[in-house]
Amino acid sequence: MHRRHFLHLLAGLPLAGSMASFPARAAAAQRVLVNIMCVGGADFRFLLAPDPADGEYAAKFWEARRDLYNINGANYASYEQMFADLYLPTASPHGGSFGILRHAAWLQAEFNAGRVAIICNVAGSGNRRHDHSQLIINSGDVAASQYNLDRDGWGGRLVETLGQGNVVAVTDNVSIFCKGSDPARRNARVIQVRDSRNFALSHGKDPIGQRMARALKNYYASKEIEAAARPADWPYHRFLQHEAQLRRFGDDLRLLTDSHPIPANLSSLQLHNPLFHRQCGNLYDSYTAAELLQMRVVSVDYNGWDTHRLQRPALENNFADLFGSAGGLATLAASLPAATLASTVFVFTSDFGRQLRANGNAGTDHGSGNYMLLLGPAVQGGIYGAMFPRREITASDGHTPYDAHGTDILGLTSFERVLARTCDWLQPGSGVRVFPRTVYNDLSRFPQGPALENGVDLTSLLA
Amino acid sequence: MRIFQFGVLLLCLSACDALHHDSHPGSVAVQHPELQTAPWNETAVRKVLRVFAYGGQATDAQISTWATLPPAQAIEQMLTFDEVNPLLSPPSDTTAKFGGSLQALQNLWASNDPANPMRPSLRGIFPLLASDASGHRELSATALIYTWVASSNKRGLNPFRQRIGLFLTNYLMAVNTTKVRPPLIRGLYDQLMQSLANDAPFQDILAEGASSAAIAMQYGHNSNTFDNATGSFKGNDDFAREFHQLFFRINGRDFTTDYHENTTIENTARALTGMQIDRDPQAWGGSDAPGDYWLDRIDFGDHVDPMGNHVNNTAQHHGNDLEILGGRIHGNNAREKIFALARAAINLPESLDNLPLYVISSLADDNLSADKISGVRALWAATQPKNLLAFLRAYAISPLFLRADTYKFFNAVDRNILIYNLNTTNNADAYSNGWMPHVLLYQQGGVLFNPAHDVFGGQTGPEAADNADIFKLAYNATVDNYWFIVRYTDKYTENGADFTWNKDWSVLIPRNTAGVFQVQETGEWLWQRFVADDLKNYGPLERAYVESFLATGTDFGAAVDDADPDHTFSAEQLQAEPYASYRRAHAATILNLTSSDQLTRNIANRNVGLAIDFIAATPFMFAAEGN
Repeated sequence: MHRRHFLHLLAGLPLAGSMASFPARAAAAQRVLVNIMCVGGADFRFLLAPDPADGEYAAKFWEARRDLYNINGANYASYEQMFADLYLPTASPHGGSFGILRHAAWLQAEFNAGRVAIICNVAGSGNRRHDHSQLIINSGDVAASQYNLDRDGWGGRLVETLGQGNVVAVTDNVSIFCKGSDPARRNARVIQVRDSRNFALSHGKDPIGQRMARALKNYYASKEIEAAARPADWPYHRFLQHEAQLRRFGDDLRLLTDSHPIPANLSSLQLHNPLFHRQCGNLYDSYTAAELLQMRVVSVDYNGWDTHRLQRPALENNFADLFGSAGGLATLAASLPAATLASTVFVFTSDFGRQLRANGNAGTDHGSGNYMLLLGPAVQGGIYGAMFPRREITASDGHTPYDAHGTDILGLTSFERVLARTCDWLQPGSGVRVFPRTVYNDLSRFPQGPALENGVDLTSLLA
Repeated sequence: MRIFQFGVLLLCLSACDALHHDSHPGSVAVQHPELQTAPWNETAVRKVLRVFAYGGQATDAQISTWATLPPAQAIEQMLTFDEVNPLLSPPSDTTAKFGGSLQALQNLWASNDPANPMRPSLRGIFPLLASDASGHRELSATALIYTWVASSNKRGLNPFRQRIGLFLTNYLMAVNTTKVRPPLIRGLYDQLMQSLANDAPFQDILAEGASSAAIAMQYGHNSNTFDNATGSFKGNDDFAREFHQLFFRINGRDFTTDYHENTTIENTARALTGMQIDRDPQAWGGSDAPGDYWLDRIDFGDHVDPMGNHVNNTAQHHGNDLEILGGRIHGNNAREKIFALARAAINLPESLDNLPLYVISSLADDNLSADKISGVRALWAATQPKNLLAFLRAYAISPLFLRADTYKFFNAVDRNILIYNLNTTNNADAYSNGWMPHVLLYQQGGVLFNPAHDVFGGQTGPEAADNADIFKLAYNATVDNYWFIVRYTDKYTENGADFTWNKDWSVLIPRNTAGVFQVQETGEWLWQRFVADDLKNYGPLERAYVESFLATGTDFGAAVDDADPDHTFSAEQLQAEPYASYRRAHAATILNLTSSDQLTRNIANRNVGLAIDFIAATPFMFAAEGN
């Protein structure tokens, strides 16, 4: 952005209270895709529960997972009792009902408003390892080599496909999700806003500091010119690139954020995960500066889903942070103008799902299939696929999947199909470029194409 | 660059004539198929020290001596797991006597022992058991952090040992104070270091970790049990997977997925039964928090713990042999099975392929090309028995490491500890200059014993290098908190007595042939000390700013024209008039490091600090190159 353009933007901003102070130009910004990675393998089945009226399924569910709920003094005698206490009965738009964890009341409200899509039985990784599974989901490549961490991600490829715009990472670390396809400049389209209120390089606070700041500024300015002649794989390029990017955006972002405080309800939020709280603030500021940053894709993460032990309190906290009425996203959404929200879709991904049956430590072990959630006004809300498949309670050799330790939610729909649709929403035609295997989506012609659960149609997932 | 070749000649490290210690730990014969060692000179020595020992604490004379020795001989002196390595870190006070463990150092620095060199006012940050204002006492994780950080720059210890100790606990084993109480982690660290010093094979080092109380607590298998009467297992399979994946880098490649998931991992979970940890309210001095009662060692027998709890670690262990990794694993308790399993795992082809790459990519090289990968694997395969020290020594002097396409990005810990260590002149400085970089580590995502990744360990070099915010924090620290590095004097009162500490770089910086500290040579010496690149990257730009700070205490722009300090100079401009004259004048300036006037000496030392502060913010302090 040209300096004059930026100053014009800044000058036009109102300075009063929270919503009123949101930059009008940012509010009317282009579509933005926010990818929220739940790191560790989120048991989204804990978020959702079968209706007690579904007696046969509920009975197996309870038998296999009772230990997850009866901890820390809780002693639910029946599934019905537990369900009534912990879950919000929710009507499916396709008939029947199910439960959404009470700690995720905002999610339920959004679902009821038709703004949440729950895609069931989604598979990404073919293994149960965190590192490789995260690599697959972040790269968007089911064939990702488990040892190659220097590669592109689907968010990075997406902004390349858009032709303009950047990935804004509000996280502590830059995920592979963000990275681009040029091996020498993986971060060329990534802007890391880890601390939006302290983004800039310092100019020094006292005379000695100012001397040092001046020396470094001038040194880097000259060094960047000198280093242009260095080979692309010169390891120090990236530090010069960091300096240049921080120099380019830092002072302008500071001007913007200084004149637009984070709304009190968001800044004073009490979340269980302070890092996620900070990311929510970073995200708010990034929306404020969306035009400056040319923000089209956002990388958010939430750690703490590897729940081998005492799963319930951990997940209740996590889901409250994400989806609670006083959670990070609900509060953020309340702080953003409707037009901004209307142009945003949140995608929730994770390493893998977890096993059906509780382990011996009131937790669950690594599994495979999972639910994937999309949230936003553009989302065609509903349930895509069988939320609680009958096969999970169908006996084979005398045992149902719920009876056996080590059994997973069966992955029937490839994550590529879901994410490609979100790409297409951001820009028509981008999905197949970001997820090349989706060119084989017609399984009648290409049986080897990305899997899709029978009877599921994702074509109208997003409007 | 010489081409790396294999299988031509067997090199026996311990066969080096002058320093052949048959009984010395770490002198395990490594017959590996490396034909050559890399070109060996002072810069190569410094590169090894920079990557493996936070720069080391050896004297310049010692570094020169190592450069003249055959590299196999030099490396045996440079890298050891001994409690004290007097050549790498010459002892100068009582500190060395306590170098055997973090526990001993922590106890020393927290104590009022007359032998304690720590400033009395700082001793309060070290006790394992900390009290709050109300007198409530709990174990302190920060005290463990302080202890490790303080250990990293004290002369008389062994910085290579601390480097590897941190790698094993914070990366490979990824133990975390959010789940495990600090003394259990400290116990793990010290046990691993003792085993390394005793020359234990690497599989036993890993087994030691896997059978520790810290790891059992971390993954929760301390409550895994097996009912031998009913054949019923109760527990999780978390560490059953990570034992293979994290410790041995086995993902199941050599077996079917079904076998790996449902035989190897499930049976490993059964092998990890009977690992309950004893509790003792008085264990660590009487914490008021019941969660602090855990002991740092597991008693694998059936017994009653100090709290009167019946602990049936043998009875609740899966008694029979187990099929894991295609073989039968025998052991009468979990520890025996873990050690037996480790012996099988270390020689599995997948581990032989992956484990050495993980070690080297974590410690030394973020740019492992195909030929380097082959070489590292060949080196590990030839390392028999699997001795970590022998492997690292052989690697460090080989063209696998010392070559132009090797580079290692520093994570926040490596970078800040490197600067901290090299900015320390001696133990008088180390103890009197009260500043430690733990705050920088915390800010920049390098919290010790609390790895950034729950399962996969601390912040990696590539992560840090990709992270613009970490760069900003490091950059801004040199601007806003320059005194972290520049600090040159302090007046303080301890026990009613007044003390003054003054930095004294004259004890390290060499005089030139004229017997003075000239700016040009001092700048080059500083660059080589901190960057260790034989001045390859010390070009006109770097020289202009470093020499300006040394000569004038200000930036080159202001030194040239105070009315236009923001002027930007290209390298070409700096080599032409009028700027060349300024540079010549700066370069010829004499630093008054040994002036009879303390204020003059302080200014000279301040200017040295400013030059270091500038160097610390250049790109070349964010990574290490191999050549």
